[in-house]
This record gives sequence, C-alpha cells and structure tokens, in this order.
Amino acid sequence: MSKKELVVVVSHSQDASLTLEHVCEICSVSPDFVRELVDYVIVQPTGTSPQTWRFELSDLRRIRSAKRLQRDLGINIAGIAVLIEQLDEIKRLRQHLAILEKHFFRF
Amino acid sequence: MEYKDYYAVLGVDKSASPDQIKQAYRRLARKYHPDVSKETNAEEKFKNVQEAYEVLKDPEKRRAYDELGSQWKAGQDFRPPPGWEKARTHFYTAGEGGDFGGEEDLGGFSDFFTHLFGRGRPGFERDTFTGFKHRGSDQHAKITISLEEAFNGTTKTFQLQVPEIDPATGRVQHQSRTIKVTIPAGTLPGQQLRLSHQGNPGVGGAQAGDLYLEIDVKPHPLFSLEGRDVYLTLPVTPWEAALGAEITVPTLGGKVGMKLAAGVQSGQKLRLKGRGMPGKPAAGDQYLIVQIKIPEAKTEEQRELYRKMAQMMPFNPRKDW
Repeated sequence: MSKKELVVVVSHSQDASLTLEHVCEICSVSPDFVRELVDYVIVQPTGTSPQTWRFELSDLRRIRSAKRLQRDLGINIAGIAVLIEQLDEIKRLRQHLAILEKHFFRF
Repeated sequence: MEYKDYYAVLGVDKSASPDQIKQAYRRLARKYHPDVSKETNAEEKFKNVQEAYEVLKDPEKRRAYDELGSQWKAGQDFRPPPGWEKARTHFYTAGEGGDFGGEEDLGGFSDFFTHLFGRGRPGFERDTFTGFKHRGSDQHAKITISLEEAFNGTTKTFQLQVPEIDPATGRVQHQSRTIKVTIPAGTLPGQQLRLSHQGNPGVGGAQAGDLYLEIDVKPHPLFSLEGRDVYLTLPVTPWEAALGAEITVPTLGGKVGMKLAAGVQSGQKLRLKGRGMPGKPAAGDQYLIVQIKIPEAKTEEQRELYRKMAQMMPFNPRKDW
C-alpha cells in the first residue's frame, strides 16, 4: 500500500458528447443493443446516423439501466421502453408530491 | 465469514423443486431490482437473491451447499469443512456468469459464496494480466452538496481509493487520491460530472478510465426544487393578504423585495421570474406558495376585533356547497 497522496485538480465536462463506440465501451454493451434503444427512443442521440450519433451523460444511466433490466429480469427492449417511461413518470410524480406536501398541505 | 441461508433468502423450502426456485427468484428479482424497486436496501437484497439463485439453480452447487448440513443458521460464523478447498476448484470456471461481467455490475457475491464456489464472475484479476492494452475501467462516486452550493457553484475536495499498478512488480495496489473538483453553478440533483482519465488505470499503456461523479443535493428546510424551479412557502398575515404589502422574500440568490397584490389567497402560486436555479437556456423561476396565517385571539379585546370583522364583513366561504 502506497502512502503517497496526490492532489489532482480536475476539470470536467457536463455535456460531453459521446460517440456510439465510446458509449458501448463505457456501458459494456454492444452497438446493436444501443441501436435498438435508439429505435425504441429510449435514448435520443443527436446526429442522423450511428457514425454521427452523439450521446449525453444522462443517456449512460438509461443505457446501463436498460442493460440490467434485460439481463436480470429478462425484459425485451419494447418492455424496457414502457418500463423506463413509467419509472420516469413515477419519479416526476413523487417529486411533485413532495412539493405539494411541503408547500401546499402543511399548515 | 457469515453463513448464508439461501433457501430463506428465496423464501423456499429445502425440498423446493427447480421450478419453485425459479419462480421465487423471478418474483424477488422483480421486487428488489434496484432500477425498479423503492424498497430500502433494494440493491443489497437483490444481490442476496441473485447469489442464492446462482447456487440453488445449479444442481451441483445446490448439492454441495446442502452437504454443508442443516445445522447452520444465517449470520452464524461459518468455517468450511475440511476438503472444501479442493472441491471448490471444480466450480471455478472462467466463462461462468459471463453475462454478469463489467464494472457497472452491481458488485460481487459474498465471501461465503466466493469461498465455497470460487469467483463466479470475471473479476478484477484480469487487470493484472500483461501483454495487451486495454483502457482502465470507469469509476463512480457520489458527492452530496447543499442547495446553496448547487446554486452558487462550489469547489469540493474528496478522497478516492484508486488501484494503481506498481511498475516494478506489476501488482495492483490501492492509492488514496485526493481530487478537487469545481461543481458549476446551477448543478441539479442527480446530474453527473465526467472527470476524464480519473478512473482506474489502463493496462499496457492504455488510457485510464473516467470518473463519473454524481451530485446529490441535500434537502433544504425552506426551498424545494422541481427541475430548475424553486418553491418556497410564503406565510402572510390576513391584512397583508387583503390589503397587499411590500415584503422581502428569501431566494437562493439573496433577498428580494416584492409587492404583494391585494386579495391573494392561500395556496396561490406567485412567480418570481428567473430567480430559480441558473442554467441554459434560461434560469428557473422561484414560486411562492401563499399561506395565510391567522393570528390567535388571546385577549378579550382581540376576540372582539374578530367579532367586529364578522359583523362588518359578511362572508361565506362555503356558499358553493
């Protein structure tokens, strides 16, 4: 175990635009899997062809989540699309409910 | 290491059929899947369920597990019987669980599992292989900041354990790395920052992976966030509500003066444009939720005032019933 400590000041990017190849590498998925997710509008990259597609950081979470749902629960892509939309909706509703409870119903 | 009762984890009998085990697994996998579940510790529970299924679905692993005997209780300190060391190599197959690989995996199985059956999945060892190049894996970390910090932007310093390859021995050792990162103004909860090449080191001269830093924002006692919009409860007196008033309102960017129009009601939503979280294409707004507070009548004089109001201002809020 090294005791040496490094201080690194790092810059970062919030809206890195990632290529298909990079996304596949980061998420350990195949290009075909990502193509299917795009077909079902689970992720929406900019660009018109797989070669020019650019993904956002927030897409990575969706791609990983889709992969896990397919692998662990055996859901197909169409099912994943429905499920992810429903989960997004539930998240929005929960947030909204929290606001109602905090600012409207508490007297 | 702790003994694991795999039958109890899946909620099945020791005599359960493969079909019963499969059904129990599928039901619990749906219930605890971290992408779906809102249960507390869903991830932990899901891992346990997966591990139990990994053993009980495989007739050989199940037999070996059953051979440990039924005298063990979950959580009990477990020492494997003699002869296990040899037997377990039988289960050590590199390709096994290939589906599970990758660092975005939910994490490995317990010590108990690993000890009995070896590593079911390709693990970290591959990083010590030499003779080929591959990019280091990505790391994920989460950092919690206050809402004020998210609004104004902030600089945070945190420690990260990073495996590094000792060039002399080729072995992996963990090194504590301090990373200082600037979080931009207007960062929203759940947003990720990508820190290029701050993840695990590459092999054979390849690039290091990236570090993904997720920003979590602590709940604030006064403000709430919905997207870039900020919500605040605005308590007012009945006379302020009835007559209008000039009041000072806190926002994340500091106090602002505003004119309250005459005749506002409880629950009404007032908008302070552009006073929410900064961002592109435009900053969010701050919403004020009016809440009329009624002062308690404590003295006879104060009660008389309310009675006078009742006489002078005939008003029936239930006229629509």
